[in-house]
Amino acid sequence: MLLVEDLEVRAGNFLLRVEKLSLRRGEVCAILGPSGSGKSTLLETVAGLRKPLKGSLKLGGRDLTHLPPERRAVALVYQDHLLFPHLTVFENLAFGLRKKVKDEAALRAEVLKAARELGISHLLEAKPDLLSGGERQRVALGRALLAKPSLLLLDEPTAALDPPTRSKVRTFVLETLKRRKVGALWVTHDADEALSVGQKVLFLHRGRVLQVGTPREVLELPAHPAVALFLKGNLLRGRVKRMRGNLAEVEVEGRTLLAGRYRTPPAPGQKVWLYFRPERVKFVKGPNLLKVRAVGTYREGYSEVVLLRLGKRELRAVLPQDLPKKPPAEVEVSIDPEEVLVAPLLADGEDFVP
Amino acid sequence: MRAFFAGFTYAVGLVLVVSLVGFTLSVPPRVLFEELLSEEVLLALKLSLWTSLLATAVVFPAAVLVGYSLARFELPLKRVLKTVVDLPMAFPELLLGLVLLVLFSDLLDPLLGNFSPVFSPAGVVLAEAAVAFPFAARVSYAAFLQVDPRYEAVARTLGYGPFETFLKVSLPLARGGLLAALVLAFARAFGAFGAVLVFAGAVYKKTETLPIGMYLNLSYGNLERAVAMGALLMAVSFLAVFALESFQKDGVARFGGN
Repeated sequence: MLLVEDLEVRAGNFLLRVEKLSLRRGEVCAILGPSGSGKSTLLETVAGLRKPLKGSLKLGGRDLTHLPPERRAVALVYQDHLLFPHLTVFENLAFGLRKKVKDEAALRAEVLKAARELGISHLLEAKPDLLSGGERQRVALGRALLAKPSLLLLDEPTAALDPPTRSKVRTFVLETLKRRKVGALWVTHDADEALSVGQKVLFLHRGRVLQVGTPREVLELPAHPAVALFLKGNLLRGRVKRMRGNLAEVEVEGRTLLAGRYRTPPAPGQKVWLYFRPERVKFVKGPNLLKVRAVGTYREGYSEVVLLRLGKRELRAVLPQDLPKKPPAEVEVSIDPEEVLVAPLLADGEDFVP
Repeated sequence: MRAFFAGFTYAVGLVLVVSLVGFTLSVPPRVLFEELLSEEVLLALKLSLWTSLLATAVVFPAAVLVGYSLARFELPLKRVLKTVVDLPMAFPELLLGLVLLVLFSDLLDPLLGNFSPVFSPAGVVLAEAAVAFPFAARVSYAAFLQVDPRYEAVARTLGYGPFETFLKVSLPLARGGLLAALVLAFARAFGAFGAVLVFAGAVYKKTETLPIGMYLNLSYGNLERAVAMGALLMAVSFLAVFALESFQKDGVARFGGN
């Protein structure tokens, strides 16, 4: 229902390029990437606030490429909500709807209904500056949805909220989108958020799309070392020795690691990068057994992470709850070969692999 | 620290108030009262008020348009354009008046037929407008710069065209600053002297605004009447600026966000 093809937009000192992005009706696509990767530029281009150099945008079969923002049926929601400070909550909600519904009674009825759905009925006469962050974001969402867009453009909609409110608002936004069958592009620089909100994730880096896929694909089969790094995975550099059945034997730091996950089977002698999740590293004997030195631990969110030294490289492993807080200096860890991704090391990914 | 800074600020305020009150009371109250009610002073007040209100009405919309386009659009030669708009602020008013005089009595004269603003009340309005415009444009430019353009982006995606967005979003959001531009335009027009003197002349009871009247009475040696006119000028300006201050929230920078 949204179709972006061959899009090129000049943005600051780089060119944003999106070869292809397609979304089905009601689908949510997370746009993930570091700051300055072009995420907001992509949103602004879809909104019609920036002119592309080339390419096309279609929404529900309509060609948007040359339409001004007001005729695109898309609505923007920013992280800092941007409620009009001179209007009441009611007038903010009614703002876009007024362009469609001229009958005041019908308009009022529709705004009240939406306010009930959003749980903000008690705030209608208030000015936005009296609202809490979560309430403001609900009003901003309501204002956008009441304009009846075919696609919602969310620019880090939860970034300005405190963590408990953030997950509440996130769930709330997703449920509302689902109920109304409205699709969305959801910009975020938070990998956790990107993997939880969308049916799709698009990863941007310096204006280039490095991957489009389901959250699971992106997490398990990152298409580029930059993606793997952003998802806080373990990255190693190696050389393929030979294939043993479906497994690749890869030489890493003078040892051999087996890797069973790949898009195309690697060729012997090929320079490759390996990727596996810190939460998949096991502190028990098994295949891919590695004797490593534990050089430190630190806390990351709810889990304890151990830093392991393998030759000159550093690995990270999530410490299971049942192990002592301070692992011995010499430990044996193992990784299921099926959890290890192997991919050819290309010039453009070289810098990302330690 | 606070005591020092606040004390200094109050001292400055006190010096200003004492000077202005002292100036006004240099004329005995009874004489001042008589002068204020004299025909010449009342005529000058009336002329000053209507010409500067008219000048403001002309200048303010223009300043809003110019301020908005300078604040919002990438324009070729923008820096030059901004300099040209601001430049008259740096001129002595005398020069502004001279420019108008040459323009209207020489270059534009053949085009205007019988109408000549030179040495007439229409000339007063023109001169006051020329003085007020750059200040009003500069302040309205600053007012629009304060408005986050993403508000306008949101309005656009909600179905509003660019001009409607300007009316429904940009103007109301810049309201405070635009009000300041309005008051400043009026105050500058009301107090304009040099440009009015050169372009509209100092014609007794015809182009005699309050500042011109002060000048005329000073040159006749009628100091009481000049002071009365000065006091009147201060009173009107005080009302205008005080109205503005009351509209705007008292700002004190504080720690913390929301």
